[in-house]
Amino acid sequence: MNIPKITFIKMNKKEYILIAGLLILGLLSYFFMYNIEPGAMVKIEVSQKLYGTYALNKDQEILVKDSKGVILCTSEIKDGSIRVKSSTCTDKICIKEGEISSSGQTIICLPNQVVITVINEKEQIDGVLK
Amino acid sequence: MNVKKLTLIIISSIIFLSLIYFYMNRNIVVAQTQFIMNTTIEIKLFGKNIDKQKLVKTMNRAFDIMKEVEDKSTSYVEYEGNAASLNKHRGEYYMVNQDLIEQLSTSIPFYKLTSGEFNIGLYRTVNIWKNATDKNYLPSREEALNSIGNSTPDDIIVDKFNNRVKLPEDMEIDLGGVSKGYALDKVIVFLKNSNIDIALINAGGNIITLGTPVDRDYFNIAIQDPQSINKILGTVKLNNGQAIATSGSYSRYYEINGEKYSHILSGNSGYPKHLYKSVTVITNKGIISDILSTSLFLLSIENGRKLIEKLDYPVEFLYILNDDTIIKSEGFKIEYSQDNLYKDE
Repeated sequence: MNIPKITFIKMNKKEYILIAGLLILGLLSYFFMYNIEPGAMVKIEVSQKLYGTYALNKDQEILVKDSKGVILCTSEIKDGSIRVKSSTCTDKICIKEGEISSSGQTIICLPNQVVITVINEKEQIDGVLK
Repeated sequence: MNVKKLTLIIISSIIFLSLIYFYMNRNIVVAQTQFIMNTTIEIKLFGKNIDKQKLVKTMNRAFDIMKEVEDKSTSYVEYEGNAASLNKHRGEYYMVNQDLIEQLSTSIPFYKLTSGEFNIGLYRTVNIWKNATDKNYLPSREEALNSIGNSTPDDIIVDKFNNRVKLPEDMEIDLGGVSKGYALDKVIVFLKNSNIDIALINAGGNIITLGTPVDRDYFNIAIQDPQSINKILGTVKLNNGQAIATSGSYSRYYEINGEKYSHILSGNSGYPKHLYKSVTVITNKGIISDILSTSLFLLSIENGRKLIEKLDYPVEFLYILNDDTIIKSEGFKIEYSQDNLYKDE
């Protein structure tokens, strides 16, 4: 039986170290570049009024209620994204929307007037007028 | 070394270098706060990491420009050709700096436009109020009125061609409600000439923008609640080149016998007016936003509207009345805070 021969590029130790070093440095800078981005936030609005803002990097469940305290939906932040877990609305479209995680993405529940938007933290406020 | 090895090294180098390039080229912000013109001024410049040094240099120069405008416009410290020196040389032609000429030419017409309410000739009146605050007595209406004198800003002769100004004998000027806004405009011109595309300058009650951040087409500006420093009335979105200014009775005042008197004085009476809790305007020029917020603060809403109609600038306004009602122009888009207690008209 003929075993196919696997051919390696013959390199000495120094060359391996050079290539590995370059790749590691590159990956590190890539990692660093994305790590300094400010954390994303989630904004939840009910009937055009701000209900609350939450950090996307903190896993939690958010109970969304209307002004009378009636539960509208339950949303869940997990692993940097948010989804609607359960909702009292009729069409359940908000649940079918699934997870969102990038800035500007929204989940809208029309019947209950709930709007969930992912925003960038730095977008919050650029300056305060006194 | 054979060809394959060489290719591998080249490819990994390219990956490495491009990642470094993208890292260096990422968007960065440099920002600093300094105390100039009796207020904290924050300058934020947006650019690429590769020109960070240049950004910092430009930012420092921008602060210097603000300081220069302050020195050129102050009535309280004498420098050659500034407002304090002009006040000394009243009654004669006096050579002043270009910045003073600009500020005078822009602000003098507002005296007539506001039927006398916006008056830059109130240096003596301001001093009476400052003095009264120190000694804790309330100036009489007569004392305030008498400090104004008979001449009006219309009697100031501005000789633009020779950079000379002649102040009436019985008048001294105070550009407190003008120079901050003017300084913002001057910094913006400088930044444009320095090839800065995106910047935000916050001078407390005045903010001006240049461009907008790369990921959106507006700056998000929070407006402080007139009655509580820790609260936000709401946020507005400012586009490229917009200037916003607030005048309020809360931010600066003369405190006499425990009572607060607004530092914005009527040009007709020399006395504070408390028609509103605050007035905020958005327009496209710093100096106009500064003059206009003061003017509207002193005028009735009806007369304010008439003034705006006469101007060639786009103006949006928001009044907070003393009963916490808000009156604003249609184009003033504000997103109120959740805990906002003020109500729309």
